[in-house]
Amino acid sequence: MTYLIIANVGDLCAERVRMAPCQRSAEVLVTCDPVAERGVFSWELDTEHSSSSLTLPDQQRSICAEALRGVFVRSQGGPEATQEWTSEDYMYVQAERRAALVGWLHNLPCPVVNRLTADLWFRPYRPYAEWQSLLRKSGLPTLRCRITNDFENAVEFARRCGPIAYTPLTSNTRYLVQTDDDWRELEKVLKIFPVCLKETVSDPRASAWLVGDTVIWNTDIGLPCSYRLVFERGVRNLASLLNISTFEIAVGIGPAGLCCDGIDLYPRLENYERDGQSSVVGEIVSLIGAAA
Amino acid sequence: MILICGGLADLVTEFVCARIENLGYEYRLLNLGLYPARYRVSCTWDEGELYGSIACDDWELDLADVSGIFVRYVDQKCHVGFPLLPTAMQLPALGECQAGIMAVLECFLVSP
Repeated sequence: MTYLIIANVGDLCAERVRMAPCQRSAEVLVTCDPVAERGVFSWELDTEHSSSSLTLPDQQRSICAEALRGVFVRSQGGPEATQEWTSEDYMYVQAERRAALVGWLHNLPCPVVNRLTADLWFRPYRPYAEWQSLLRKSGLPTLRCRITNDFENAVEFARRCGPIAYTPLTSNTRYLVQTDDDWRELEKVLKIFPVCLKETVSDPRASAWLVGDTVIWNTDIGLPCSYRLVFERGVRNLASLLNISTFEIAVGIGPAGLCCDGIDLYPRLENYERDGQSSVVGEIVSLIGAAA
Repeated sequence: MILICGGLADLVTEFVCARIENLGYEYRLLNLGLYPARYRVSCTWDEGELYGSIACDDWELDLADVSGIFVRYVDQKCHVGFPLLPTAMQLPALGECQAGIMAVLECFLVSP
């Protein structure tokens, strides 16, 4: 009985999930990249059949795909040591490895938790604007946002919305625009590339992690039951639209009330209290078929 | 109105523009070989409404009037570059710029 966890070193969620099958003497292989250069990866496929085997760098024996009972995906692979590559080669190698990995994951016969569609796999971090339509379709309340490369446009948006933040389009990093210095910085950035502007949220804030059909909140912010149900139903609807089984949404108070502030496809277990952590881990263990 | 997003240094985009022009269809070119210079792009999601525009010195296009889009992203060879940025930042900046266009177009594609 073998389970595979694909995660970076130090990933608390992966570590906690690993412990459950280990405690029942099941074999758990952990790697940040099953197709890394020091291992052996072989996959043969045609229109009807797929067979593959894997030998991880620190393993003596080869594991065939049929021997895997479940897989949990927390990272996407790709070369770790960036300094060994020119940026052009690094991006090429990373794209090749990730393409091989996502293709392979979709052909595994066992349960795979957090198996993203190719579209999400290659662009897991998106501006809020891109999630907007899906959030609304799912019934989740949203914030106003704007993508622009024009400073006057940004000023007009802030005049209408009040406090705003901006994010680059390829990351989740958020910069508040509050002071004159912040505005000067934004003006400089907009001369080079567009950004996504968004209304800001205030406390109380919370995160809700969906695993399978269960929604786990990182903290109790005293949401009335009716609100809680709206968000939980919305998260399940969104999972269905995105065709994924686990992800997290952030919730906060926007100008129009409680709303969804963002999506994270790789949530951090550290942000959850002890009971929440146990619930998340228990549900993931159950999904990969490793529950007692 | 047809919207073409691409660079004229790219043969395919150049052919598409030439063909559309030859057929007499109305179109606007967002020249990704120059963008973001010369262009102002804005797309807003406001209480369920989605609206936006692309403008340059010669024209302004309401995205609601777009009937079809052809997109072919450019690589560094087909882009004029970012004079304010060092070499190492050129490629990431180009990525950010085109991700912005991608995000705008994706939103119009998935919106009802």
